[in-house]
Amino acid sequence: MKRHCAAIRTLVVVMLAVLTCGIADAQQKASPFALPQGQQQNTSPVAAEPPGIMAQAWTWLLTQQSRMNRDMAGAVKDLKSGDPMRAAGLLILIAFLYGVLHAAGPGHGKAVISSYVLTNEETVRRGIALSFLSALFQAISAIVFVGIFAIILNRTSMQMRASEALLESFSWGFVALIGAVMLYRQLRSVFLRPARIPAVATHMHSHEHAHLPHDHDHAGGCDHHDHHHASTAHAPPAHDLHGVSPVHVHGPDCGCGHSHMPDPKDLQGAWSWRKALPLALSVGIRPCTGALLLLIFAMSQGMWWAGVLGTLAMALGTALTVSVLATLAVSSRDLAVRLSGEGSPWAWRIQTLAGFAGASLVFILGSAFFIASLNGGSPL
Amino acid sequence: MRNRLLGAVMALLLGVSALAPAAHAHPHVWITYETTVVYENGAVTGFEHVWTFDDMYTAMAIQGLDKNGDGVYTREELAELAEVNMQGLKDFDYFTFAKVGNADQKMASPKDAWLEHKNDILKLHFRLPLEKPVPADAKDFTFAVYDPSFFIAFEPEKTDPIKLAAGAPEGCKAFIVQPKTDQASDDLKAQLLNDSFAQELGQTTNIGVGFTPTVSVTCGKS
Repeated sequence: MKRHCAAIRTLVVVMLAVLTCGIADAQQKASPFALPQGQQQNTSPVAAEPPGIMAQAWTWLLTQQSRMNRDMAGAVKDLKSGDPMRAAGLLILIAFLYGVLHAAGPGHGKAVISSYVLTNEETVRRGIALSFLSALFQAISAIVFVGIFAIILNRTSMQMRASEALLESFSWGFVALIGAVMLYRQLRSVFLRPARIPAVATHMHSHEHAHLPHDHDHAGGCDHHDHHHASTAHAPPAHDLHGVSPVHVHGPDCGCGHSHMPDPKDLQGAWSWRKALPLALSVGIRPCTGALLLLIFAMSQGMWWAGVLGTLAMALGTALTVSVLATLAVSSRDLAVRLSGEGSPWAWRIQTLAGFAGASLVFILGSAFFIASLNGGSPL
Repeated sequence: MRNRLLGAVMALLLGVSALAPAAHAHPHVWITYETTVVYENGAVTGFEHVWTFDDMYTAMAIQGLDKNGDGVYTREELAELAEVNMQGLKDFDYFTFAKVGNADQKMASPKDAWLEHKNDILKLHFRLPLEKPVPADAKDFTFAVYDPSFFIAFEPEKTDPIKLAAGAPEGCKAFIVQPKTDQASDDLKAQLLNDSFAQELGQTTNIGVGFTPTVSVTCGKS
């Protein structure tokens, strides 16, 4: 499994790298540690060996990040002195790429959102919407943060760091809380419904249906063909975060023999704010360091609005990366369910496993980062 | 059926691995370092660092510190920040890792830390004494300046990054050893495997180590 994960990760890195490479020019591939020729006379002979592919990729990634940082600063300066249109375009482009690359690091909700959608029987669509929403919140948070603390209050970086640390603790604390609720719901849905598997198994013959992704609550409606709808034996919905909409409470005459196509409403994904907001806010409440740096730098150059522009572009990039990962999580879960056969006990087990894995991850990530945020000192 | 299940499990694994970090190392601060090796009585007693920060970090760091509003950030106005920086750096061993052979050499408390703001760029100056001086002719005396967690990207200054102070015995020299790349590549693979989850959980790892240039200080007679 480890090997497998590493392979996937490498693939994602290469994918991102290629993406960046395709848009930004990749002429400059020199090592960031390269020294002028005259200085290298004494280097040990091993350094002359051709670098391994991983080393090359790593070096390249570093060089790109370093360049991006410099170019972004350069673009802000050029807005003042150079060609403003070109500089603005460049700034937006680089900030976007920066967002794409940096979302891969911790703290951008990537793991949290992917885990969340894995658990909550979410659709790809919602995973993407959630990614964009939290990235937008994160951008707004950075802009408001700098607006209040740097522009209005003229606080020092040391004071701002303290406030940022507080927001970070809040953010992860809320994530942990959401994880705990998710775990509780998973446990409840499994242990309060022991009759679920047999019900599915015995009724399978008559309920072969095309079970396209749809987002109504599976436990409360007529899914899984528990024929006791009318007997008021309904277990509480397993996924309250879905904000079970009354539209989807299927009556006793739901007609379980029919081909269960999803409602058009479901495909369009009736967006539930109640469900999406807590997570997006939890993730987004903490401004990301990259955006803060850009905003304050732009401000120091008297180009505050350029920082806002760049921050929004950065958020777009971040949202893109997180969307890809969330989509990967949802699709692979759906694929797993399909491969094991719709409605089979194995499909149910996989759903449950995915649900527990996702909920546990949200909880573990949230609490681990929360604890880390309490005692984690910053070097500078 | 068995194939189906295998496929299902594989697909699920794929999903879980998507949650794992893709490329977690992303520096936010760039520092170019210029380090002088300090000698006293024929032994290395410590290091004198001059660290130059990048544009963005500079802007962030000095924000709000121009107390008299004259547009100049004096050494005095930056004194508090310098102190906070040194306090913070303490927990990270000042990102300076010296060794004799494989034995780590401890650092004493830094001295004379101050910040300089010139041409919109911030520089941190400080002296970092070794807890025990290392004899100038010690075999395999090396040091490296890097951030294991890679929040900060350290690079040696383009020209003359390492100097030997005036008291250095005759024949001593310092040179930068570039990382042995194939080793580095293996290291990185191992680290990606082992540390990715730890990193995601907020722990520091040694991601940057394999690619860090090391400074070797020798005093050969040859």
